[in-house]
Amino acid sequence: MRRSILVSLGLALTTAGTLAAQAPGKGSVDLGLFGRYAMYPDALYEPADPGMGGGMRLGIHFGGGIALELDYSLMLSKLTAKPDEDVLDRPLRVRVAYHRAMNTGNKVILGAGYTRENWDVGYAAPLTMSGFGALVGFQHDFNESTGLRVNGTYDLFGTGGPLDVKTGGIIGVDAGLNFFFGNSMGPKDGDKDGVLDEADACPGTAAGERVDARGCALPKDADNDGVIDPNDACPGTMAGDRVDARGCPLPRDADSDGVTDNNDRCAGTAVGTAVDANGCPRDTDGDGVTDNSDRCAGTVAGTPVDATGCPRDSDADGVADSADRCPGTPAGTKVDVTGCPLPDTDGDGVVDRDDKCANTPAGLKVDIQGCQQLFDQAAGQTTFILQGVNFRSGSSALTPTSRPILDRVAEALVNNPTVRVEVAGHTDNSGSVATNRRLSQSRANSVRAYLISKGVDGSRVTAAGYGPDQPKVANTSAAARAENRRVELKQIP
Amino acid sequence: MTDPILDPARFTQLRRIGGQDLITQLIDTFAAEAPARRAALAQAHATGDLTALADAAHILVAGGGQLGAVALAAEARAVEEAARGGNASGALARAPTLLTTFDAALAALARAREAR
Repeated sequence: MRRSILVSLGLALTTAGTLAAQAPGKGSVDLGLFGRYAMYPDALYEPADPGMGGGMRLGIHFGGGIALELDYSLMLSKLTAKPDEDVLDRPLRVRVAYHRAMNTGNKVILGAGYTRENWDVGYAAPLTMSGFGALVGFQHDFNESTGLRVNGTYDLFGTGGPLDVKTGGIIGVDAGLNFFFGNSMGPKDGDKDGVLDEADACPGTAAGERVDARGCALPKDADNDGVIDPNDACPGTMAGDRVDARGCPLPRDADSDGVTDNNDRCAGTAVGTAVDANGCPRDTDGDGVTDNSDRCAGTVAGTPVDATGCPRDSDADGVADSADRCPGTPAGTKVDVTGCPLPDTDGDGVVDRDDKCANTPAGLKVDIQGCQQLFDQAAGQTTFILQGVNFRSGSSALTPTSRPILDRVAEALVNNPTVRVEVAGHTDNSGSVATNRRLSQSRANSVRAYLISKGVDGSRVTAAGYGPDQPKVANTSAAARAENRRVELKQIP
Repeated sequence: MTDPILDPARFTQLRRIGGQDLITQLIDTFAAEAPARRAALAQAHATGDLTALADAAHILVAGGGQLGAVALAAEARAVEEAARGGNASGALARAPTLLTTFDAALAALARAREAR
């Protein structure tokens, strides 16, 4: 134990010179007031209990962390075997101490020197011993003038002598306030580099320099590329250039497509365009239309496509050319899955598949279901003359040539089950009005009956005779009167 | 259908009702009955039978009107009215013209049928 303490103190003193610059300034003085606790060796005089007391310390600093310290304590104890016997211990120590600043006001103190112990027991003569004392301390400064200091001490005395001292050493601990008078005690940062002088291995760093944790200037990065000058193989890189680990500019990527210019075969690619390894717009399905314009991604290889990347359909029949067995289908023609026109047997423009009236005679206007439209809905027509429907003279009997016409009308009505009509009979003004009304009503009835006989629902057909009341033209000539003699078909709600 | 003997509007009406098929059917029927109608007309004219002449003319009024043969219908109507009015000389005098007009109408209808 004794050997290890001596080694520690020797090491501390050996390193003192290299750490000298961080300690309180020369001529500074500190004064300490402390409480002390000590454990005495059993063989000192005779066994004694641990002692408690207090003392004061005076330190004079010589710069470089070296100080001469003098402390004096008064300790009270009792002999272990004689509890009534007080013991007064008055140690006086003189030591050389080294104050090593750590950081932010903390210090470690190592000290060694002379110890004189005055051991006073009531029933015996006082004992005075001289020996070697060592100290290890810690101090925390609250500010530039006040701190808390804690020390551990070990005092070693020689053996023998007139009182036959057989002691080992006295181990003690003291703790108390330390008052500082002088300069550079508190935490200071003389070079204002952010590292307190006490911890600043490089005081005097130039203003503005970036420093490391020890307060020493960091290597410069003149071109600000993030690589310090000693490591920068390319000093002077242009501002904003991206650089590699050596500080050299990375190849540029002017179009920001992720492919550097030296590898980019398609410079100037629009922002956001997906590109391939060559920096060219990607065409995943290889149809010649880049992905960003391709509305039909995944086109089968070899399929001819249009400008949008979709399979080409030259005749716009909805079947791509590659599957179209009938290219060149006229616009509007309905086709099957092979692109060939669907059959329209009756040629009414409605393919058989959709034609509910598959045998419509040519020339008829048909609806979207392929059935005849008696009334031209688009033109707003609600009435037409049953041209060619004639009656025997003075009667309501239909002439044979009228029947083919009415057959077609009946067929159209059957195919348009939602249409309701009125058969309207008209005459000229020849003869009596009453007779003409009766005749026109009779003829209208005759037409209605014929239509019903051909399958038209009677509830959808009414008949009315208007006689001469609704002439088409003035009855001023034979031709005009002929025009007024007519049967009309009117669409009714 | 630009023949002045025929009224295109009538054909349009018929086509609307029954398409070209109906027109063809009506023309064929009219043409098939034409020899008998012509013979009846000629017979009435030859015998001076005004009633028969009026009836024969009436049929042509209806037939001509049905197919838009307006000239035929007008001439037949004039003969019919003259005959029924007791105007024997007038009716008989117009009968040959009616026959000629009848032939012209038949020819025009034949053309129209082929023209489609």
